[in-house]
Amino acid sequence: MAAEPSPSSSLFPVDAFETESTYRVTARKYRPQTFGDMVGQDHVARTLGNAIRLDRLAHAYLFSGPRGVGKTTAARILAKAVNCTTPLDERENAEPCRNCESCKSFEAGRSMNIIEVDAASNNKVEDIHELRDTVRIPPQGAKKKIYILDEIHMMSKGAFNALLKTLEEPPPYVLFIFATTEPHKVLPTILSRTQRFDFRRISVTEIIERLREICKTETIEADDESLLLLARKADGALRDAFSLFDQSVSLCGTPLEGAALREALGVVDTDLFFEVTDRAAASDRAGLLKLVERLMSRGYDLPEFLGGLAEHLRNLLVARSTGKGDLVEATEAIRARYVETARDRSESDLLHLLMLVEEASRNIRTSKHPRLSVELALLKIASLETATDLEQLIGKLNAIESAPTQEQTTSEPPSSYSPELPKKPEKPVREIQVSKAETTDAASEDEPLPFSPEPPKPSSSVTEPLPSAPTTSSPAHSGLFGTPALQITRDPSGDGSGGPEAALAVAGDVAVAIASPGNDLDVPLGRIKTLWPDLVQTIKADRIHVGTLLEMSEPTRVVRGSVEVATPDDFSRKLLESEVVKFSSALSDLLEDKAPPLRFVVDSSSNGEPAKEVDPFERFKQLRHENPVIQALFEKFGAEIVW
Amino acid sequence: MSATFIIGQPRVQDAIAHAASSGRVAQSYLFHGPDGTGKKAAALAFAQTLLCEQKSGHDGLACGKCLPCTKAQRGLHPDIHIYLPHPKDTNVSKISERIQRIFVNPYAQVDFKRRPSLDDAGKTSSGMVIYHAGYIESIQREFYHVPVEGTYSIGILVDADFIQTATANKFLKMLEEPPERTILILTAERTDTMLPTILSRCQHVRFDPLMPIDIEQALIEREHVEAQRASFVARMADGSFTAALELLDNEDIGERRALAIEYIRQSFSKHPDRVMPLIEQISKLGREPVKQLMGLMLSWVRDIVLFQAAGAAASLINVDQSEAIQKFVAGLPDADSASMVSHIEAAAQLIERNSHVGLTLTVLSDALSDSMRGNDRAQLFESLDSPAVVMA
Repeated sequence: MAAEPSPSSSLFPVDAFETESTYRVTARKYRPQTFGDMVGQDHVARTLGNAIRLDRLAHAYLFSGPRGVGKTTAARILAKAVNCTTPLDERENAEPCRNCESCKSFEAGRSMNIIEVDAASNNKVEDIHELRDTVRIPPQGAKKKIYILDEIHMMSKGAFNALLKTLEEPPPYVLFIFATTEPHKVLPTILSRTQRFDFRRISVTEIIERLREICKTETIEADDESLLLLARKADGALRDAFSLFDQSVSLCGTPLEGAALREALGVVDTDLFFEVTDRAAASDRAGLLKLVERLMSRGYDLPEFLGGLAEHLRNLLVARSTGKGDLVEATEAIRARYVETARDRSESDLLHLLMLVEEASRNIRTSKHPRLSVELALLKIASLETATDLEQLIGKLNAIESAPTQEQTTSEPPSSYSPELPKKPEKPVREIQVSKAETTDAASEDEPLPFSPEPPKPSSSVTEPLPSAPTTSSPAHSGLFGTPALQITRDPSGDGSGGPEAALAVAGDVAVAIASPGNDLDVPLGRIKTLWPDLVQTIKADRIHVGTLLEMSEPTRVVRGSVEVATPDDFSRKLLESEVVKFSSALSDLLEDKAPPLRFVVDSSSNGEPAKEVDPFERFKQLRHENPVIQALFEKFGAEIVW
Repeated sequence: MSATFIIGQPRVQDAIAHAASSGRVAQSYLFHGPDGTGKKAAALAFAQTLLCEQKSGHDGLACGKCLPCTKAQRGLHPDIHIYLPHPKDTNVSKISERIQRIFVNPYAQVDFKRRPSLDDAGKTSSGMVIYHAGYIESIQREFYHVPVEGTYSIGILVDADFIQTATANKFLKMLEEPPERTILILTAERTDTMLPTILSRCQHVRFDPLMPIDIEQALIEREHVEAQRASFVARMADGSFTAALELLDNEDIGERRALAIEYIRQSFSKHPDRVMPLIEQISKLGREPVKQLMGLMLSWVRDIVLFQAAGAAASLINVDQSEAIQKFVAGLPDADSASMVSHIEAAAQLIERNSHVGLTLTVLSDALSDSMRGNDRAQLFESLDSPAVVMA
């Protein structure tokens, strides 16, 4: 074995040890030996060929580009072509002949005139000094002495600077070729002294073509799908494609088939991504978690999965925006499916999903628990999808605001508005919980931790009450189911005492006006007072919250033929007024006579000033404090007061 | 050691057997996947299979009986070289002691970073654990020798993601065109921190987290753990056999988890009298145990997430705690588990970066209690260069 013992000249010339028996990875075995063999770098090959033919070679070249696109290969071919002894006229486009002594000796790794240096290992100033010493010696039996410095970006600054003078004005027989993936790390003074060639990423079709040729020579069968898969995974680098190819052959054996390959390379099937978006649209949280379970048991790589999901969303987005599937890199059937699915999605939703997935892919790199990150991301996606309803909701709110008719203001108990709010399904439960807490809180001195495995020990219950969340400590509305949603939705947007209430008041007056005015004495106030609890019971059986309000009110006196009922606050008054027809009929049944008209007033003795006189900001603050729905509006949607 | 020592990973076993039997052995491999999934075990099995004279074992893997096999198993084969990242100026004997341990049990934790001292699991060290440039150079020199006995000379670079960029670049040429009959096997937990130029030169073999059932079986068969404990440990191990072994060593894992849950529970109370003693207790454990504790918290929160989404049908990790989880979910419907997770993760990172344990836990406790009430804050802490702080 002719290997040098020191890594300082670490080149292992291409075919130096080629023996029949040893296997060599495809990337090395099929390393191009002529410009014509190179894939996807025609611009470089042509220019270099012309330079040699016209004898217009620069004294230093810099080859840059991403990994695995042929920089080192091009450097070697150029070196070979320059020193090839076959007359130029006999070589097409100045290709190396591979027959002359010079070409042969280089391919066998014993050329004295082509020196390949690993600049990453020999990056010190001393190494460059050494190199400068050898530069002085002219080539032995060849035109040029060629230095190939690979991974040049790793040279130290001192080393670069030590090279500058030599690089600017080298002896006429010297040619430098630098290769690097990171040209930005190379000193500008070096860059300006070299002719630079940027190598391109290699396109999917070019990679497929090359792979197909190799399959033919290696007599390995491979179907189109598997080649497409390899080429796409290689991400523009031919060496990656070859590594993947070797890997696939050793994993799956031959012939190569798309399905088996997908499994082996851990590429997630498109069906699965459609399943994710479908389940997300249906808010099927449990299903999504099961899907993750399935991913794990089938051995998929989670970052890979997220990458694929992002691509899937991108495809949907593209299909949605263009209405066509042309820009989707997939087979025809799948394109059609994208177009079909994309129709029901809104662009903003897809963008939002894409952002979530991107965020998850970022998190997963640092996460201690990658699976959890993926699960949370999918759950977020599932709950986000309901945001499509947001517009509907806003529309509804607008409708309510613009037409505050009697029916709308009264028919719904506050909690039933919650399902329309775009929140997680558990939220309505929370409200009920809160109102329960309101009623029970006063009793419990120490808030028991909700997930204690056992009831709090007596020792811990003597301590003072916990600083609990604000929502659980407002006695003001106890028994009221919280403040009703409707009033809230009106308040932030307009004057609290404005139109809708005026309309209500009118409606109330109308109700009063309809009732026939009669003699005050005819009105059996005493009987009504005794029957009042029964009335409350009747109403309660039908609508519990109206009944409760009624219970807190009481008939006080008779004014101009109608019974005046004192209510604790303005809100109750309005609500009760809107139900006045119902009360009248119920009261008529109880009295077995035509009931007198009812008039509701705010009982000024029991209640302080009406709410609307408070500064709107103050009032709003208070509402926010008391009511979880408003709080939620603030937090989730960034609501603002518009006064 | 025989090739069957690889736990689970059928795909990997197939790949190894296939490569060895077909003779399509690449010059460089990258075994990547989570910690404790058997990368070292597979690398050793692969090396042994390549050197084995018979290859008559299970699925064409090593026979385990011929001379090269026995030598390989005892760690005496001159053509198998294992390299470990280590702090500078580590005694060579210290390294070889760990390498011997790999031969005894490739799943053992021998990492200098996670286990600075083999004798004391709790000890920490501040030395930077990487492949130093000098070490890589000596590795390269070693490989320009011909295989001594066998057909191949095999180098296993454990935790190759600890090769720093500058050093990794020195390695590129060697990796691309290594000497004849030299095979390099790199193992790495994550590939995204590695140079693309390194990645592109290797054949990748991906390792998946182990299935709990595989870990359970291996524990019963190899470590002779009783079935019930094995099943519990296997679920806690999160797909890592190494973690499972460590959990076994750790008698008080149940206690630790109880501590983790208690910490979360008391965090909710926001009661300094109850939280502070816990924090003090936890801080005394040391840095590594605290990280483990945070892992336990995460697994618990994950159970909550699962339970929130799937109800009783969820496959929980802490099955024995299902009642507590149920109570939590019912009692705290507002709890924002996503932000709980991100806070715990952020705290774990802080601990990793040597921030003060007690302080971190205090801040975390506060953040968790907010999250459990549904009043989320965006971050665990406001970093000093964030606009808000700068303004103030």
